[in-house]
Amino acid sequence: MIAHRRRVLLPRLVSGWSAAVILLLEFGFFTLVLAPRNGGPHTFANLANVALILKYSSIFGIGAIGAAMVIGAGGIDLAPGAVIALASVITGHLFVIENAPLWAACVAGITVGLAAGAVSAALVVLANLPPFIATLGVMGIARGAGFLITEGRFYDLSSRLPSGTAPLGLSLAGWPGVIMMLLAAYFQLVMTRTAVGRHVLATGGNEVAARYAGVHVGRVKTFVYVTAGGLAALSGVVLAVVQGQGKADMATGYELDIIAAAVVGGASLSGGRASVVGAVIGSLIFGVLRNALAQIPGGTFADRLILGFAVLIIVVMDRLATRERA
Amino acid sequence: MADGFLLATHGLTVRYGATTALDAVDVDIRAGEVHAVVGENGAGKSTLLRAIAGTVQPTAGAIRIDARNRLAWVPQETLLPPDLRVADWIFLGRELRGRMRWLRNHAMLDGAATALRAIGCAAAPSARLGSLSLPQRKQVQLARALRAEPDVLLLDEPTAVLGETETHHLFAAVRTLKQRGTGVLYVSHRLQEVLAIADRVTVLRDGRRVSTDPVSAVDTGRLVQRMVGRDVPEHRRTDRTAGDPVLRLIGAAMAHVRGLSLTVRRGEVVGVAGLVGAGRSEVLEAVAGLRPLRAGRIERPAGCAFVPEDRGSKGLIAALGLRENVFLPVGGWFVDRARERAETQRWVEQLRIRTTGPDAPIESLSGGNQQKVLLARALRHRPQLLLLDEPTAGIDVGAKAEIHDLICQLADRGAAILLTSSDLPELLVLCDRIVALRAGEAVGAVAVDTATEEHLAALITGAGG
Repeated sequence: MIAHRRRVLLPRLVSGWSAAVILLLEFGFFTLVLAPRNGGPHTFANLANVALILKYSSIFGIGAIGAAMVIGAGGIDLAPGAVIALASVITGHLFVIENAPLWAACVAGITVGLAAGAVSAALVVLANLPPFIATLGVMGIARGAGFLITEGRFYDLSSRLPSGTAPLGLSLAGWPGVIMMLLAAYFQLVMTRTAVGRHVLATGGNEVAARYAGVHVGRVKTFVYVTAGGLAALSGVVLAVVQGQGKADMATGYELDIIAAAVVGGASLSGGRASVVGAVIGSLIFGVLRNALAQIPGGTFADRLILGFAVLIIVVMDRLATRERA
Repeated sequence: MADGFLLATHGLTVRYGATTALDAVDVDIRAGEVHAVVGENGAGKSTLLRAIAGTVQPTAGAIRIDARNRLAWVPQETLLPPDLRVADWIFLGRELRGRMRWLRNHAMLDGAATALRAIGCAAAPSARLGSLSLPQRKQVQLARALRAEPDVLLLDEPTAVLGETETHHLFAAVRTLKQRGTGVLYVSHRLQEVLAIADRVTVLRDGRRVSTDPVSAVDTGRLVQRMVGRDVPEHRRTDRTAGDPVLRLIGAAMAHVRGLSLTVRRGEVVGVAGLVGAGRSEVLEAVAGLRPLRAGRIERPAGCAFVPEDRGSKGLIAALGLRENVFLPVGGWFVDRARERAETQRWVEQLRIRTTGPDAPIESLSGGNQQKVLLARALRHRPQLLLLDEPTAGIDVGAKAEIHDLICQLADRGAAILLTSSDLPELLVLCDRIVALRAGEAVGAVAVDTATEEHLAALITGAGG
């Protein structure tokens, strides 16, 4: 018998575009709360701050695009945080120590992420390991490899980048947000308008049925893990160039924020449902929250706590909206 | 209860989505009687037991039972946790405990041995459930239910996987319980058995109760008439000439199936008959290329489509809509939604799929219409060879007739069809030839003009062989 999804109590609140509603409400809320009292400039709702939110959110957002696809395919990826760090280390090492050209260092960083994804995929597809265990192992290896390369140092890329570097006329700080949005648009199309996207959701929805229908389930899984690895690494490379740092202990615990962003954006951890745009919006919801809390006295100490509550509240609302019946 | 019933249902109704599985059914069980429930596949027999056992929520109606009465249910499925030991399962939730609430393992092993002996089961109490044969697993389930000495016992097709000797042991145990005053609700396909063990018999059809009589008042002929109820239209094939061979199995071995040889020609329908566990699905899965061959070879055409059994777990993807389920996998790189919608609409009309539109959620369709969605997926590629595993399991009589019709039309137009069914009359109606499997071994092939249901049943069970 097929599970019947019944819509009760609330309409579908949190998936794809409706996550955007939450983001707008949140932004409006903090605009009111943080409004200056004596007519001075607004410290939250101004263009520079929005650019800042975009820049910091994109580190999670680029990874969350991959996470949405992995989760949609019924898997999970715990490696992104470690892969972000490793990619920043590889890029930093090649650029700073080996004097490689910046583009080559970046390509190498991304390649390492693709390789990490390929290892996860091989463990899941060939060795048939549960994705949680496979990617937990890859996470440890990636993090460890970073420490082995840096031996506790960190690479200072910023001092070697010519000041005022602005590719295509856009400042370095502006690029992460642009990259995130271009990737979101591209992968949204992949997920909704290509065979790959449907096969990803079919695999996550019912792997056995997808296989019986003739979907190459192994290829689908390989695609999502390799893509997720590449995206996490891209995020790490962007971080290294824009922040000017390559460090082995960066982005610790980011994998959980990335997964949370994908889930808040409408991905179902039981597979079969995911939204790339939703995942990016999910990371923006968290980005706004972090940024705003930093402007409230004592807010930074509470931000993990509030983020934890926010994830639970949003996901519980989604559960109530699409309650499952056996 | 004061009125002499151990349990009674009043207007019991169960709906799954758009399907009404059980429609205002009244049955009752008296102390010390065996009340049999018979009906075709999809008549609502299992749903009735599930509703009484409490695993299915009734949509309407009531179940009256004295709170002191203990109830035991043996479902048709034999899915048991493979790593538990036999004794663990028999005592699960009713563990014997000693001082400090420690488990009394030895006492439970002894108790399990007694319970197993009572129904003639050879399995050791310390064996892992995963190591048992299918009949043994069924016996372990029965032993668990019988050991509890319930006041009401619900048995769902208990003998479907049992041999003759095991069935005798079971009947003896049921009669013992009966003498102690237990009321048994006994669901079975096997009418002879029902007449042998039951005191009263209820016929269900399309979820409704047709009749309840003492067994002395009925015979198999009358029961069959009531089960079927109407003149089922005969879907006789117009053209039984077979063309060139399309599929050839030569000494093929897959899973526990050994040395199977068979040929299916253009325009021919070949059936595979066998009990649960005989290897029917394994044969089809191997032909579809989903299961490795252990020996022999299979010559199959490139255009080969497979409709698996068990729509819910192997066929449909509930997270996707109707159209997306039909177009799976997507050919090529890009999804052309407009073309998919138009083509899905054509299939909806051609196969008379009752739905609100080409993008309806798959769970809003009834079982028969879901099955047609899977057929549309398979037929979209105009296959030369069609493999159908239990194509009409659990769907209503109307949809079943439509699917039979479709299968006949496809064969008349030259498709080669290999199908399995646990419904012997269905095989006899649809097929040109039937291959009988018993425990992985081909035990005979019969041409349909000479075969009878009794002959086939004897072949697949090995009775009177």
